[in-house]
Amino acid sequence: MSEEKSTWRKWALFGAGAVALSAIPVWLGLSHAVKGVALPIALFIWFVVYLAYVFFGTARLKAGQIGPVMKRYRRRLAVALMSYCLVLMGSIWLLHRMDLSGPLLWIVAAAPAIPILGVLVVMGLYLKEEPDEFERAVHVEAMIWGLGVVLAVTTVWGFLSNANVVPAPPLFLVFPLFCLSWGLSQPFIRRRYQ
Amino acid sequence: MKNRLKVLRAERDWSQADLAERLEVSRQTVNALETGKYDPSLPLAFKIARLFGQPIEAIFQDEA
Repeated sequence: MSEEKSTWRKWALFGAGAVALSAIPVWLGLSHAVKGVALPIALFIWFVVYLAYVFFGTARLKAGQIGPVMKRYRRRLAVALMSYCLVLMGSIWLLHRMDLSGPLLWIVAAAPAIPILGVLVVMGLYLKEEPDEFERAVHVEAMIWGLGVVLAVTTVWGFLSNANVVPAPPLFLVFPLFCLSWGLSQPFIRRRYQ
Repeated sequence: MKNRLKVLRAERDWSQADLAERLEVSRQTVNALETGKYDPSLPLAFKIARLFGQPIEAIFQDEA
């Protein structure tokens, strides 16, 4: 029991660290402390540090609980997210600096979605490769919760924006919302089986 | 579903981690099986039965 309590405290501390790190890009964007080309470079460095914090932090907190397939999934995910960050910055830069049109504009505009589709493939591969059926079941259940949250939020938001109460929902944020609710629902699902 | 996993494991003096390793699953999975809150698939149930050398119905009890 006391062990469980101290684990909660460690997770809370880890979460607080993650929130504090999340404030850095907001501060960078608002303060104009870093300008020009230095800003995307600073943001990329921040992103790599953030990924490393989450990756190694969770690995330490879940020491001994991460199987080989999960490790592979996490490595693939880190690669996909890092390429997403690079492609996104490249795409934004090209859209602002170049006067693109036609198919090239389509390709440059849609390019950041490609690594995100890669994340979907990485998730699918994990479910396919995970040999532990309970782990698989927990993840599938958590994904359904993620799906539920996304459907609920976008449906309510859709009707609100139909009535011009709020602006149209930013569709690219649907996927991060799915991932967030997938991740956050997991501890609650696991608790039910204890 | 009720089961005798905890008793069978204690008889052999195995920890949850020991049983998890023998079944090639995580310790959390063993825990979920023992509390009876997660019912294993047929392949895993057969694996458990083989490991303990008993028929499935001697390990898992249908409450119906």
